[in-house]
Amino acid sequence: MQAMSHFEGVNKDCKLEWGKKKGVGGTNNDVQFYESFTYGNVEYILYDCVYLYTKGEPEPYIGKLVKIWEKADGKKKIKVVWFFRPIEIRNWLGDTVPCWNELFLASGQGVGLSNVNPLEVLVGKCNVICTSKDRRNPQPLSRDVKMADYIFYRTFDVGSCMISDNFEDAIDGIDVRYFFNKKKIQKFIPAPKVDKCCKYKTQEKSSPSRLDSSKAVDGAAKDGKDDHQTNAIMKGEELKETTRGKRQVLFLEENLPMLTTSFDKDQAKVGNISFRQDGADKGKSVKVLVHSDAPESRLSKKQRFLNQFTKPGDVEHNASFPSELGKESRTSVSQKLKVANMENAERSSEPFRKPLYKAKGEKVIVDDRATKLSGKSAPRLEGKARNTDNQVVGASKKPDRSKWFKQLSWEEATVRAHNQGTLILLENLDPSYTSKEVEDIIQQAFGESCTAKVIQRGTFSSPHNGQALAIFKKRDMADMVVAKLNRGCFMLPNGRPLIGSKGTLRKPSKTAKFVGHLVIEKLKYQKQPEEVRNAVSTSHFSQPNTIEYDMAVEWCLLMGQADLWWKALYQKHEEELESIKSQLKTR
Amino acid sequence: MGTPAHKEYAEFQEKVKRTVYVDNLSPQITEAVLKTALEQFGNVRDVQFIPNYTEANEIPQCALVEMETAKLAKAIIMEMTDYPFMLGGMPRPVRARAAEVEMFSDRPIKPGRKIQIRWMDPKDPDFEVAKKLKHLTKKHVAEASLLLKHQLEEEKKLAYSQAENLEVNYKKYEMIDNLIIDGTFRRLSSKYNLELQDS
Repeated sequence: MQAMSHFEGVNKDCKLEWGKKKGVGGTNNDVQFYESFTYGNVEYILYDCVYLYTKGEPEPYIGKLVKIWEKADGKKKIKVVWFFRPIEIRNWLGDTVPCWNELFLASGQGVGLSNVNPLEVLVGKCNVICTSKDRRNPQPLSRDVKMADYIFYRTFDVGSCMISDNFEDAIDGIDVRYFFNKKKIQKFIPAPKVDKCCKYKTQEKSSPSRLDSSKAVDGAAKDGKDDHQTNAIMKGEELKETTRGKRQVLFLEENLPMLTTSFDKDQAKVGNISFRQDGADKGKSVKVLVHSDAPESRLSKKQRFLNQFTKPGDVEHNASFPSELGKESRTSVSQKLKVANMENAERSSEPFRKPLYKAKGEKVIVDDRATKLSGKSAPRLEGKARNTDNQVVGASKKPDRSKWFKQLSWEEATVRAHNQGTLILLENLDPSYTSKEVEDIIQQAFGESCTAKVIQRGTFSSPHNGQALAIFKKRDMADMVVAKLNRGCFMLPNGRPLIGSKGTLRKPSKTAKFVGHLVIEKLKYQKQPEEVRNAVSTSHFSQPNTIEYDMAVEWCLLMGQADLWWKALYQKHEEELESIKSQLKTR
Repeated sequence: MGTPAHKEYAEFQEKVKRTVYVDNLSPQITEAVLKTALEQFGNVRDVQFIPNYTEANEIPQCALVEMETAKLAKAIIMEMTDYPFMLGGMPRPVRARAAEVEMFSDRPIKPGRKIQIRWMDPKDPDFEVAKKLKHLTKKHVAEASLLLKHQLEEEKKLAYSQAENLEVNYKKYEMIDNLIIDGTFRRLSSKYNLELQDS
């Protein structure tokens, strides 16, 4: 049986080996193209679907390998055309309800179609089946579809942000046939069917040979464990064992927002921990990928685990660590575990043993030995060597999808929060406060964090009353804040008691009315030459000898009047405020 | 100056000076239209509409337009104040003003400010005063809203009367046109022995 682990790519058991050459190119014919290569024990062939490790993302990206090459300077590159998860394009889904494991193939022109990446970001292969009824697409067997990690039959045009059932003849200059199923679909080992709640699926089993090798490592691993004093601790474990031959993929993540920020700051290091189990039952093996970011030397807080184990049985894990943990040998890991169960997972509900996942410590401690081993060479556990080539994947290399498409704007966020009851309008702030300051004030006053934005001053904004919108994480938090502000009194400097209220968001009306732009009714319905129609939308200064000018002056007059009204009103307000403020004993 | 925060704030202040606040914009005006309109004067760096979150009344759009230089921004404001500027329709002109710091949602924190905050004890003698202040603030908001309503009403009235005027004017010219076309004009002039010079 063939072993094909999704996440083996990061397991640097094997170095990169090039496969079939394809030709040369580049300015000096110094670029060598390839059709296949083996990396981390996985053979990649052109037009395979692959997972790409992404720093700061909960899930790896998925793309199709469309080009593989090595430059004269030894840099290995891959070009991938992207698949989008529905969540990534949710703003454009409209009423499209994507299937739970559906992906969308990028198409069209523009940012987000494809990217060139360093080959090292490959995490593993991904089984993506095209279920499009397009006649160019070799129809998949239903068995294949069931086994697939993901399916796709629609495209997402990155230029127009439209979803379509149709496939263009070429995507990113590549014949679309390469994006459909390969004629001879790889033979998959009886893969487990996938449970709906599954986040990651695997379709491969470990090969006997790998089991042997893992056995060999097991001994070493144990030693390693002792030596390395490895406690990987996970919060909220909900691991369940699968039955024999099934596997689970675990996905561990920490608080995501935190994770993202720190990932941005830090350099990420990719390592791998593999937990193996020994014993009569041939070892279940658990693989954990650690994507740890080490700011300088401290590998703090965030790490990401992608675990995967193959066989059930009693557990005895060993861990081999990514070497480059930095100067310090401490890795603190605090994660939540998300468990994705494979089919039949429900049958087995025995909790995952925790020998390695010692609760609460949240630390992975690698002793000095491991640390010494860090750097380029991998920690070698006696017996069989685990060669862990570390790769430092800099942020710049990573395709940052977050900026490709528009994020949920503040406007949309407020509407959502308003509907969920987590939005609060804060009033009587000093108008000069910034959003950050408002957030700090809330943090200090209530110990709750929120996202706040000041409301920008407009034509009619009061100069005495600064307003801000704050979005809280939970509804009760927001309720509590409003209640406290109403009952109590929270004093800002300069005699400003803070006011908070809910349900104040303006409902955006689509038919916005605007008075003052006149059209002569009769002319409106007449067919006008194009230049006349366009003339309306151009901008110009009125000439003094026109009716338009006279009318414009009337408007200016009204505006001037209105300005006086507002001035008077706000002056009155100021006086009133001052007179009451003077009663305050402490300011 | 010196610290990054100061530097950032100084840069921001420069940006404010470069920016023109434009209001009385019709809802149909898009970023592109506004940009094209102001590019007549010089290079536009950025256009940002200020969204209306809280005002329940329909108010015209307003936007911040960042120009290349502060001088340019100043010139635009002068021009637009002196002459009515039409954008996307007539005859209601748009208005340009100097932008203010508070109009920017992404403004940096002014360096060196400390905000002193505290919860007030209900027994504090100031507690009642603070309550009054809260009440007053709310009252002020309501008053402003009322004034706004009044202003919008006035605008509506003006627009309506102008529309009527325009219609009447148009009818007048239409009638004159028709008289010339159907020859009445000529007949009348010959009847009253009046010289007709190229109609």
